[in-house]
Amino acid sequence: MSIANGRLDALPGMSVIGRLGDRATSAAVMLAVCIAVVVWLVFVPLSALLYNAFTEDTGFGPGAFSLDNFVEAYSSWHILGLLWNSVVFAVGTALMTFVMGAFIAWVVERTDAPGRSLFHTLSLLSFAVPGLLMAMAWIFVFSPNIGWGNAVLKAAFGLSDAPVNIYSMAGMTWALSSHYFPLAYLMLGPALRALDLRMEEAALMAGGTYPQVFTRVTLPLLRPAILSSLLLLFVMGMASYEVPRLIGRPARIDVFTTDIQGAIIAAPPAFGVASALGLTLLAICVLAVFFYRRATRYAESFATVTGKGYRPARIKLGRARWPVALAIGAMFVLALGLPLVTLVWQSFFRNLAQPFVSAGARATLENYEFILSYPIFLGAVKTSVLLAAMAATIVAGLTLVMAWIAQRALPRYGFILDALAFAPIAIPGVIAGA
Amino acid sequence: MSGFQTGIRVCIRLLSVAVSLVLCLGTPVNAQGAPSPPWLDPTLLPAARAEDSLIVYSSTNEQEGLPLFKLFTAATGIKVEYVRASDAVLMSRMAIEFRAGQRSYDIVQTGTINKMPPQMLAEYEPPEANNISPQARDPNKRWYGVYANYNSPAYNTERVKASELPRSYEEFAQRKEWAGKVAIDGTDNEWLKAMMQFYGEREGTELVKRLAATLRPVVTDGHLAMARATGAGEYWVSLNNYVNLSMNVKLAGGAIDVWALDPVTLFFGQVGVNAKAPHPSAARLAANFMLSQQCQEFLAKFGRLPTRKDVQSNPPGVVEMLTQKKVITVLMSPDEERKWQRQFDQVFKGR
Repeated sequence: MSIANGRLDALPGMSVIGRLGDRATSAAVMLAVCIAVVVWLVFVPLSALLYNAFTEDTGFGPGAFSLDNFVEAYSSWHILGLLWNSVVFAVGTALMTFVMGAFIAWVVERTDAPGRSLFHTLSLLSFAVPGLLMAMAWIFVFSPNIGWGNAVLKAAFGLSDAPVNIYSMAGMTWALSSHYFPLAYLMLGPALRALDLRMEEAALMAGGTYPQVFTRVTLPLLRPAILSSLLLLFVMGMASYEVPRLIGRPARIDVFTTDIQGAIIAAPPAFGVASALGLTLLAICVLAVFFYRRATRYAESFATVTGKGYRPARIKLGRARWPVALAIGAMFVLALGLPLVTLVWQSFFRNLAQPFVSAGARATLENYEFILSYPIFLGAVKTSVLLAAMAATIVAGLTLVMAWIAQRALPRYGFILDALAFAPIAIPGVIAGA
Repeated sequence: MSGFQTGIRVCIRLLSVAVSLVLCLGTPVNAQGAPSPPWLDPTLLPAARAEDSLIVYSSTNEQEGLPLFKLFTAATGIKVEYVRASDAVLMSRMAIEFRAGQRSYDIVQTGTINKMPPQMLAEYEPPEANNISPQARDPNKRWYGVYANYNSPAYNTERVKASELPRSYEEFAQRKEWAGKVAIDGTDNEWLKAMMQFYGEREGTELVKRLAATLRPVVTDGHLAMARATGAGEYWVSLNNYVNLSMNVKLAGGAIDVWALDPVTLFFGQVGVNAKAPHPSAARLAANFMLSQQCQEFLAKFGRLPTRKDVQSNPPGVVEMLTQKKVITVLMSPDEERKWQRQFDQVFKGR
């Protein structure tokens, strides 16, 4: 042991302790910064929401304390209809989207069906189409009056009435699910990829049947991933606006988001009423997050990462390879192909022109000429790309730091970051935007 | 210095005086050297040019609005930033920006300016306002009608024959075969008020309820979208819509036409100057431009009905057809708007 210049850092182990101490201090600072940033992102819009909800709506800004907004928002039986429609729509969307995404994830990650990389690419393509355009496209396909899909089916089967009506709860659910199913695929795919097949093999060797193994081994192992995706899909269903506006409103199916937007765009705008409605939407989403966290509070017991070099073997489908691949392909054609073909076709016509049905409609490039000569088009593209890149970078960076702190640096305080990371999920976009 | 050099100096001096005179007087000569349009107010032009920018918030679609303001730029040299959104979105945007104290636009052109708090608009009397109809002028001088927004039903000409059209709203309320094929916009409270004024409160309420019960109209979001959807055949009939939008779709080749029933509701597509305009002189000049014959003739090409007598409607005869019926002008305050919207929601949305 030696003491150099009166400093103890020459003692064995003291430099390591010093480095650990420095690291802990840096981590504590980063923890504080992360908490501050996330609190800002979550609580600022929440505070504004509460403030607007509990103050009088004047033409110039919030006035005195008042409960009038709640009276106006909740004094009609209509609110029960809103609640019912919103929950049914969100649950239906979550389930349908989950089933579609899970099917694709299972085929792509666990089987030897052909076309897996193509299916992966097509799943990502669906995200490139804005929700508003998808909703519009489905109207052009399955509107009972002008939908070309219905026109084709009527002609093919000699029907007098349109067999499919997009203006229904089922239509709304389908329109949103066809847009969101890649999300379920992206969340379940990695979980399936990392699943330890040896547990299933061990269960089979112990005498379990395939259904038993699936329900008692596979599903429990996938429980956090399943619940995460269902939660996210439910919240996105609750927060969806384009589909309820374009498809739900003509069908007289109002949900919270359409009423919130209706209050915001009234003349004059009723921000207080919109905020009062938003609180119910928020409460439902917070409840969903609460149940999710209770269901996954022992998440570490579901860990299946097994170590180096492990790759689960793919399930050999045998004769079912091509039928399964074709089934997935058909799903993509139906969910993605129909609306995309419709949009591309319609872009070459000035007025409504049904693909494969319209005779005599004159195709034109006028729409493209208009867009390309629109003064702010290039600026809008640039802004969109910049916004997307910045948002993705900031979110990825922030969550990387938060995950590192929660799991490695200061795991004792990880629960704070965990809770804060989930908080934004419970705030639907229409409320944050308002 | 030689006499030649002195002569050159004198010429240069004379030239610069002449140029200064031209600039000081603000002689309005446009890029093509044509005579200056009458709306180019010489008292405003120099200051407006110095501001060199104009921000317009408008609900007029870009196919009309962008070329319209190119005319303004060609005449004045002032760059225009044109921001288009529906009237509802513009109202909420302007309200939020006003609360935040932002000076984000110069003029607003939409159909709901009369519902804005007056403090948000500057009091101004453009010279061209003398040429528009008196009904289209705000007595408080905060907005002026750029085009007349007549309201009437519209129909898809491929689904409905002109001979099948009802001649009154009472007849309309008997058309059970049209149930579910009729649309109305969710904000048509002006039409509702006009119905009550025409029929009286009791009879009007009963009639409107019968219309809602028999026709079960689809409540849509957006008048232009409804006009296009009617032209496309999504709806056979619009119970009520803006005539200029139905005409706009018709002129673009849509299978749509209008017909008039008593009463015909009238309000105006208006222009107002922001009380906090960042370019106030350019704003006032632009407001004057929007009331001019040049502007209204341009808009008439797209089916907008003028507020000036010296501008012909397109197609001709539309205003004459509408004014054969009882025309009721409806201009509501924000509180009235809320009251009538609530009534509308009760009847058509079941709330």
